[in-house]
Amino acid sequence: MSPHRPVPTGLAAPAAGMRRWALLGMVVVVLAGLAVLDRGIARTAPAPAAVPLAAEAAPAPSESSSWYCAGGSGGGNGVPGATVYLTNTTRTPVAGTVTVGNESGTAATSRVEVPPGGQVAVVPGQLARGAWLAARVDLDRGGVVATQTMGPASAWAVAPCASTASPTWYFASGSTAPGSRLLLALFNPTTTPAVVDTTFATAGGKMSQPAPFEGVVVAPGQVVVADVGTYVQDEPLVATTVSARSGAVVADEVEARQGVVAGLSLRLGVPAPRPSWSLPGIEDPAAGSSSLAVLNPTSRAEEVQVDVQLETGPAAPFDQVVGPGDVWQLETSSARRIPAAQPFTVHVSTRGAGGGVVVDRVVSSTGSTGGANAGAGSAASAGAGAPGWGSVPAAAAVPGLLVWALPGPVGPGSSPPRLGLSSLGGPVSVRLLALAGRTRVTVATLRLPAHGFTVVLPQVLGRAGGRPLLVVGSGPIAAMLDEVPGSPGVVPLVAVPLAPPAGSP
Amino acid sequence: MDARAPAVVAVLVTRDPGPWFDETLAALAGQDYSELSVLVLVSGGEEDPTERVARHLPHAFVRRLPEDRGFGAAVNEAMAMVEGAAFFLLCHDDCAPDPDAVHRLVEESFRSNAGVVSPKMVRWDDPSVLLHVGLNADKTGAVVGRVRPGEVDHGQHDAARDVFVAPGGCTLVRADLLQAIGGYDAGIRAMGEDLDLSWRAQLAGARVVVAPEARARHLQAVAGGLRPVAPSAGDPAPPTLQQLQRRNELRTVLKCYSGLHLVRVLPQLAVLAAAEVLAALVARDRARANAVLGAWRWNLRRTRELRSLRAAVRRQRVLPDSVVRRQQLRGSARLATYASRLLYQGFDVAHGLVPARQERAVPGEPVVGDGTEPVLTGSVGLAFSEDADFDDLDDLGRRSGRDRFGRRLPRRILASRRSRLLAATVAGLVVLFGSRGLLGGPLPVIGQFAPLQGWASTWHQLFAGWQPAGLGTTAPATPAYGIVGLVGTLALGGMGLAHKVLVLGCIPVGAWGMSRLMRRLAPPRARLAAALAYLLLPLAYDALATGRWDGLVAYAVMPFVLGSLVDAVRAGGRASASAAADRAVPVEGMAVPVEGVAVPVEGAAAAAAEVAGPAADGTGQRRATLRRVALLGLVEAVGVAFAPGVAVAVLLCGLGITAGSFARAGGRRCLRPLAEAVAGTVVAAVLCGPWVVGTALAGSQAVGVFGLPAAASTTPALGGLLRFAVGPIGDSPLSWLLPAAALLPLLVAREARLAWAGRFTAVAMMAWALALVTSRGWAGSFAPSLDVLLAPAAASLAACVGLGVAAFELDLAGFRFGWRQGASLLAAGSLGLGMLPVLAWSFDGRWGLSSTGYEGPLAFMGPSPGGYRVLWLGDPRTLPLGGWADGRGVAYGTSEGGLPTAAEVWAPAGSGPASRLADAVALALRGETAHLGRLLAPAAVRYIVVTSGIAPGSTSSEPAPPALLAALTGQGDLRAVPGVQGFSVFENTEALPERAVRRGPPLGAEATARSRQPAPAGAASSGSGGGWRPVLAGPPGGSVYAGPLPGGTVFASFAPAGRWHLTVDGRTQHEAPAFGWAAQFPRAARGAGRLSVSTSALVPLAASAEVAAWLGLAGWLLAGRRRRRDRGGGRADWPSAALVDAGGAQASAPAAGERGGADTTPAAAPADAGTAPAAASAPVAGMPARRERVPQAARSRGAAQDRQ
Repeated sequence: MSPHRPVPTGLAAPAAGMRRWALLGMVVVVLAGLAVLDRGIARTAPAPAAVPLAAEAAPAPSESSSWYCAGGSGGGNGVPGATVYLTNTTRTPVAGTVTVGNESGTAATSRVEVPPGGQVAVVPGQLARGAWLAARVDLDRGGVVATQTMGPASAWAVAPCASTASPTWYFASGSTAPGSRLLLALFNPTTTPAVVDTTFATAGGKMSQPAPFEGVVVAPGQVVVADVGTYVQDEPLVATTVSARSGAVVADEVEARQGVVAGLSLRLGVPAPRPSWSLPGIEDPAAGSSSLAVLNPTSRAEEVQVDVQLETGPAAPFDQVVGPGDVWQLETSSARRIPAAQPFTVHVSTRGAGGGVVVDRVVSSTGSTGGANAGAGSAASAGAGAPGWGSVPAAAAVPGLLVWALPGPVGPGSSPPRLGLSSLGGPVSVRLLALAGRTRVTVATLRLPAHGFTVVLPQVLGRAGGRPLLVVGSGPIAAMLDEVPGSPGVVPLVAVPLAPPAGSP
Repeated sequence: MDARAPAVVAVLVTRDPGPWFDETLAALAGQDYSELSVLVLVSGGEEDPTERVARHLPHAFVRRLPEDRGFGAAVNEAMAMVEGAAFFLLCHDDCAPDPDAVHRLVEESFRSNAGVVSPKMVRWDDPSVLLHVGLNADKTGAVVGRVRPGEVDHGQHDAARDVFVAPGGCTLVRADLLQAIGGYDAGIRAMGEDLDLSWRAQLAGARVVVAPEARARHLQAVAGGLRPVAPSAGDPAPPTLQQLQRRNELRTVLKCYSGLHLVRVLPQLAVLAAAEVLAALVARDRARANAVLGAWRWNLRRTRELRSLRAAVRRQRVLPDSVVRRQQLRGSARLATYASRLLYQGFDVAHGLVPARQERAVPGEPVVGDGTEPVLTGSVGLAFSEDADFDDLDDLGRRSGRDRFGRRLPRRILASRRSRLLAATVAGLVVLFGSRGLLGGPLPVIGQFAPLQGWASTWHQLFAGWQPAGLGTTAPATPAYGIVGLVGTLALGGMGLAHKVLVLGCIPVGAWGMSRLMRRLAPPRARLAAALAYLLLPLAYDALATGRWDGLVAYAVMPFVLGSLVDAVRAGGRASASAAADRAVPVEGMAVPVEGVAVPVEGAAAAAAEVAGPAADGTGQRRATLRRVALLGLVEAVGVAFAPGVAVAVLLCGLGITAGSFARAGGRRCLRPLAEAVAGTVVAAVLCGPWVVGTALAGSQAVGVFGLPAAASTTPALGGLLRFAVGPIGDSPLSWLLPAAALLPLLVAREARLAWAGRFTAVAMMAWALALVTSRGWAGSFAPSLDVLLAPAAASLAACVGLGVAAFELDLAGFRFGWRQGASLLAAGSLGLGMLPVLAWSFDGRWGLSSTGYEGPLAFMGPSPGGYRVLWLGDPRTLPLGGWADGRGVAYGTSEGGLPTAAEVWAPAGSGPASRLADAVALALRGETAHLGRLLAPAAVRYIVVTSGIAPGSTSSEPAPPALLAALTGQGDLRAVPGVQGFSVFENTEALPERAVRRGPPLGAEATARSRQPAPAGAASSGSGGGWRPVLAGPPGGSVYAGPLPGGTVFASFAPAGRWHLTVDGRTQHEAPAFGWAAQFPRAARGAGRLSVSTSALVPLAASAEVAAWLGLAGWLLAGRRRRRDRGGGRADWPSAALVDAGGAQASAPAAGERGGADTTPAAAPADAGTAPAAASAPVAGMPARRERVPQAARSRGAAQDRQ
């Protein structure tokens, strides 16, 4: 009996065929559905690292907070001495320590307690000796803002201390032209030794990395100061990039100009490029010059747009492609689309994929004519009509920053500064609160239109009585002090934002 | 001159002789040797053979011994009875020498000056077939014949020569020699007395010679099972022949070698024995394993007796061992024979599951197997025997591949068992080759491959009520510690070996499980294809490369889970199968056409009746269901112990198969797989009871035991999931081809194969969907490990590949020539090419597993006085220990005293106070502290390791959140330690020792406040204000520390507070909690301190009950399995299982195959439990033969005949 073999019918039973195709259809449908889900709802991109702000006060209920002030001269070296001001924006006293280190790393520590709503000045030179001193402030809570001033012997400058140590720091402006002295201070506030490289970019895209600036070891607690002009000579615009191979540092630049237009500038670097910067409520001097320096420290070209908002409306934006490592200088004072003696707000944004830029503003006033900026002081002698100079990093336009703190009058200026405020989004209500111990006094209440700005005049700020100010917005804002008429030099200051407490909207 | 021949006394030992005895007596009576006397010794027994002896040998002496003490003992009695004999002819009562045998033996003795002479032994019933022409033995005492079983005598061995063993039955021994060596060893009752006598004769300087001119027929009544072996005194049951043979061989070796040689040989013998036991266990040949192990037990119990016997041998020794060894075979005869059989006759023959071809030729024996195995005869004798395949054999008995007309015979790929065995062996070798770099040295500390603790510590971990994970917890430990401890114990404490066995063993176990799964559903070739596909899917190797033990375990258990659910479907379909059997109406007495195929009537009915069998018996079905659920639960519990996500995978499998069944036919019956999956999960939960309760008490954190959510950006896209690219192995585009090949059954399969393909596809789809959903974070914190979730998909895909091969083999012929044939070819090509990525990675030698773990770059983290912890942060997949989630893509865990060990791999679900560490890190991330080190100081965190890759030095495949590194870098009290790519290390300059003391006051109120904050800065630190000093020595992660205490405040960084007690010189010290979780002992006295944890007695009790439950369930299942096997029942393998479909059982037999394939030979259908063997044995055309186990008696006989 031969084995039975099936008779090939060529067709499966209809039911089986239908079942097969139904099964295949199900597979296709499920796979297609999964593919749609997979593509339609993209995988959550990793949260980009929040670009740190150079100076941001920790929330008041913080467990602790620290400030690092690298730019304090010990009074020698031809540079005025430094003073650290601690401003407590909270209603409770905050205690801490100030540790001062010098170029050899030797440290001295002092206890400090900042009263609620008050301000304490610490002079590093009184705690330690050294040509250059750096201070590390450790506080038991947050809500305290640290700023540092230099002067007022021959000129003075003010800048916030750093609230973070970072492996990278950027400075978009600086000059080693004749009459200018540019110092770079590197302070290592951590417990890990840092090895730092520094590169300089000049206008036209030239970059240099002098050998003495390679592999600089900054020991924990040590401050290292280098004269940039020794190696990068006669450059009217020098942008600096500090990059740590290991560890983290804080970098400040001190620039002193002598001559007809003299002044002193203390600048805290920017730890990372950002895609958006603001200079709210500034005004170009009627006699002098004002410019923006835009550094692209990334490895890709950036298309930079500078939007100018006048009181009468927006001006035509400035566009420029800034190559990698290049620095671009925009003379706003000579731009015809920006009328003289008119306050305006600058918003710098990038449209490339490079990761952002760094922006500084440089102001120089000859003091030869009147106007809003008349009377800008000089380093040599105070008095109206004297020329002055200063520069400041732009304010980081960070959506979500609602509260900015301004320390009280820290300089010898005869009148309070002008405060520029701009809205980074929709219309914002802004309250100016003067800190008076545990109480807060409302100085002014303002209303900013969407993407608008305002300038709070000195007479309004005068109501604060020289007390520290809190600028509280109902939405994201940027705040910045502009020139200080009558003071020695031209002293712009970026207000220091207060980080919102955890869990706040 | 005296011309008389030397006197020969034939000593014939008998006991209850059979009918053959008369022939033996007649043969002795017919000897032409004049000086032959016959002494018949009746060794016990019931029957008195005197009358029968007298009938043939009226002058013979008959002596009756009171009891049967064996052949040797009886001969020894005879020595004392006889005087003046020159030779003894020692005869069994079933051996008939030829008439001239005695005088030829005597002649040869004189010619060769031999002490022992053996005739040529031939078969009793067919003297043309050789039994023995002397025997050889190797150094281990393994005896091997000089002729092959069934070899025809045509004079090829007719030359006198020295042999090592004169086989028993009929042996001429010089009388003085026999007296000199003391006769036989009376301790050897049967099987092996000839080896012992021959060996000792040679030690005494005598030659052992075979004289083929003398011939004797031998029935081998004992070896052939015709005469049972009487039990020894005190033994309840007689030993098997195999047991006798093995114990006597070992006894001979132990007593005959000199001490020096014994030292050399005994270890080799032990290694060979261990290997043989292992191979026997693999082949489920427990009789052999018991025989080997029993031989050692039996002899070790008789060391005193052996000592005296060795002394006797020493006295008789004339020749050294080195001379005697020249007569022995080189190497291991047993190993050589095993390898030869494995190579030429296949696995089953080598393991005695199927008798060798020649053995099957024994008349009266049933022929089992397909009879197609080629045989290397070693001589041309067999070629002249009656062999159906004669035309296909060459002169060496090998298949020529051509017929008698020289035409090449068509060959089917993997059609023979031998070729499949070869393919499986090659696959195993590939895996072994690919793992070669992992076999030596410890596994790197990455992923979950932390080194195991000692076996005792591992057991302690299970029973202890405290675990060091986090900051310490009293949560019960996972049963994985019990399994690891058990394996470590079996490995005699070699935890490194146990680690590798547990890790690397998962891969072959998984492939084996797939083969067993497909055994139910597809013919052997498809089964092999499925197993190979599963073996060569990237999933397991990706899990290995990334150090995912959970993925490997899931890979290993998932085929068994699916197999159990397949059985559940079958159980649901039995009623329908019964109905189908009723509908099977004979058509012309031949066949019942069913959808294009036909089955012989008796085959269909039998198969249907077989599968329907238990349905008729509700009790049996319930018992079967219970057994199935218990087995599933046990398997699942093993998986859950190592990878809790396996529980999810099991439920997913149940749901998928149910959905597949429901889509096919609907009905409540389809819910059975899901119900059994749920029931199995319940059983697993009960088995892991204490751990499950501890996990449930963790509340919302309990879901974390299934897995921690990885960063969505680092998880593979859908394409990666579909091709199992969850690691480096599956990243090749060729990995797409295996999933593509798995589509074949959906295109060409029919009936049951199509239904099963649908079910497996449903499982795979659900697994992929769940993997996609969880990996994208759409399921919130429910994020089972991807490796675990993909295991059901991989198993289902491999099963589909197997079904595709089955469909290609069985169903494709039912279609007209068209696209399906093309698709089949494409699928075959895809199958082959799809395996290439894994094959290519085998050259790596480590399957992509890094050669360097954290043990290298972090070696500086050594032990430290007072102890410390390491806080690990990073993506869950990169942490080399278990931990807890701190947001998506970030997990944390702690290790004690440096690198993690297995004690920290399976973290409890609840983090307990360790969550404060995460809170502290979160503060740093938000910029709300610049002193993270101080916050971590109370937890004794000295180092923080942030991982950003699977292994040190690897690319940052799973980078840590950039803000985390920035935040840590900016901390004032953390010092970055230079490291390598893949991770960052920070040293906490403020860290406290785990156990510290200071003379200052106790920690203040801020330290004892229960706050959400980790610890106030400066509350406890090693800074200048701290003054803490390490005290109390002990192992990292231990539960007892001791040492001298100087007095003061003692701080113990262990949770939970209140469980830790300090005694100083035996006096208990007052305890006050610190930080809400740690222990603090203000004003501790000076003296010998002892810090220990006290836990509830419930935990060890519960763990003991857990162990008892495991052992009880396993024992119950094994006992049931043994009972079923003893009843002759077994699994319902393919084809019967394949015929059953829950959606409507239809008998769908495959088309008849061509001749020559093992899977096309008509043979018996299998029988399930409770099925009548008669029904099960009905042949089904076109179905492969089921492998039958050889009856014990036949196997013993085969073993005895083969003497190995």
